[in-house]
Amino acid sequence: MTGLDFSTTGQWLSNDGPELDVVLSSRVRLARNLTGFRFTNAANRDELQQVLSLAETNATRLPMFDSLVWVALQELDRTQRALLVERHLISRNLLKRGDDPTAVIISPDESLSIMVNEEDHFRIQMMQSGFQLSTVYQTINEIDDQLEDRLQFAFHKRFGYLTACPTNIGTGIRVSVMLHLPGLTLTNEIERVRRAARDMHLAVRGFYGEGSEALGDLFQISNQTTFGKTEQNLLEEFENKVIPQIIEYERQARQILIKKRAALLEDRVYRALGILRGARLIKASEAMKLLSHVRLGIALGYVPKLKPGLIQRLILLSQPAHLQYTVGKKLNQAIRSQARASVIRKHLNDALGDPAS
Amino acid sequence: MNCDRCGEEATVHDFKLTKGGISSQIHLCESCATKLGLIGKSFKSIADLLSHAFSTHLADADDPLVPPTQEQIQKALSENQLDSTKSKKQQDSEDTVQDQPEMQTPQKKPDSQSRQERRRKSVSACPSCGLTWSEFRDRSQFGCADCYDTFEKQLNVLLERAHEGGAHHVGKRPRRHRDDYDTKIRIQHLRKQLADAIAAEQYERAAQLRDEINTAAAPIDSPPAREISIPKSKTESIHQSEPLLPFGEPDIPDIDAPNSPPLNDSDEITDESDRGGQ
Repeated sequence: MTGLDFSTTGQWLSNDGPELDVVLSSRVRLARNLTGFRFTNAANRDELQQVLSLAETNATRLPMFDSLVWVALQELDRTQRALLVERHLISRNLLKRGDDPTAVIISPDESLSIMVNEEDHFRIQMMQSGFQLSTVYQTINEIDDQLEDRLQFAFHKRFGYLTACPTNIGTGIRVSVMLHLPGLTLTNEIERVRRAARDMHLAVRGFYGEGSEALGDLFQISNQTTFGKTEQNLLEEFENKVIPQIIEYERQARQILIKKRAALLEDRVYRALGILRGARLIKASEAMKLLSHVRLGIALGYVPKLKPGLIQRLILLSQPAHLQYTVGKKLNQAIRSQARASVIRKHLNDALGDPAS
Repeated sequence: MNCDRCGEEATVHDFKLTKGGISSQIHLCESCATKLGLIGKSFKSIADLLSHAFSTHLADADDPLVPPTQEQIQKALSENQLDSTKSKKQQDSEDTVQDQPEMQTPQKKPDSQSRQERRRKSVSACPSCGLTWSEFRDRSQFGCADCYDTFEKQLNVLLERAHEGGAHHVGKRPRRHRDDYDTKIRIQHLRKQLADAIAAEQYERAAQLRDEINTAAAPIDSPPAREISIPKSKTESIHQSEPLLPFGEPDIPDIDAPNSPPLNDSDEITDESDRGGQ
């Protein structure tokens, strides 16, 4: 694949954003459709191809990026498509439809991705490290304006931006943050947060989106309402009310744990670190669990040599497609466990010094 | 007030709105409301929303937090069709579509013959892409932009549920729509919503709408909505039984107390800490 390097992680991940002790990343997505074409679920191949051409001509050059990479999904094999999913650059839905005329436009730092012919003709997505939703929205709004100068998006006086599914109409905006909530999980408070979020019409999902388990104490929270409120209202609610409260609540839970269970907490962190630095075989679920413990330890200052961003990179590099890419051939489960253990061990020991030497 | 189902104290109040005001009210305790799917559930998809609307059919069978499967929804929906009282409203709204004028559209139209064939088969199909309301219910997606005009009436209930009562786009508009946008229409719409909100005693929402009207009306000649007085209230809308975020004041259990719930990874805790690790 030209222009993308999968041996390291996207550059946006290396910029340590605000509130990184609790918030891994902030993401904003806009759904847009072109006027004059049926939505992708009803369009024929010819129409999809036309949308694709319009995208390639008009959306692959944006003033704020020196270059953008155009990736036609049809030209990728399964592993390459899976790599894009693991990096959150395309959705699982687009991966499944990879043999249709679909594409993704990616910025060199991988903060921007524009999926073409997913559920909607355009799904514009911007990601940044830590908690910085307004910045992300400002950028994506500007990109939307620039695209709109060249393309005509379907817009309705009453319903706003039109999308294939009416749950996205109006603003077409999805605001989401990825949160690390080990404190609330450990103190059994997480269900209350889930319930409160649901009552506020927010979706709570696991690391891999819809239906996935909250592996590694990672939770993705996003808005469900997109219609009848302004983008500013939605952002404001999220950025100034909901998420800061959850962050605060998580921090308090961690403090209470430190006060009451310091030994337990330290034991978890150092034990996890010990296993990860020594293990020769490790399954995905165990790796996620232990990496979560280490991440908590980093946030609490137990492991000053490590940065939270490293854990995020390790979570990514230990996913199946990334392991396969690193090793360079198709892996069965046993070899994957070995490759995973080796990647994690290497990175941790590079940062901390080899315990065996 | 007690729960309509079990007689416990009711904390969740829901009501149906009609033009004349409130048509029916429901009062439930938290547990029954959860069972019926009124609270504690996030709307992930249209299927989810539809199932929510008919959730009484699914109520006792499943964990309310697990979205019902497509099969369950279909079953619930077909049962619902047999239930004359409940499906009446729905049938009404489907019938009204026949009266809708065919929309002028810039949309690319499929071959007109096959379109007419499709229309003959199904009276309420979208003139541009041929999608019917029941097809939409199956796949949760519209086929084209014109579907929104074709099915506008059926959509209202669904949109209100999916978007916290939202009925009109108020956010960003493409540049080409920014100047010609008809503010008066929008204000009319907001005023109607405001009247509904007051009738339903949703005062917080009403205040919000009033502010929106004032902002929207500022540049044009229209009496400010501030003249409309909105009573101050204790409880306004649906399920406000708890403060918005009940975790404002943390109530983290004392994990050292003997009766406290075990931590998640219970093995490690009982083994290590209770044996004198502290």
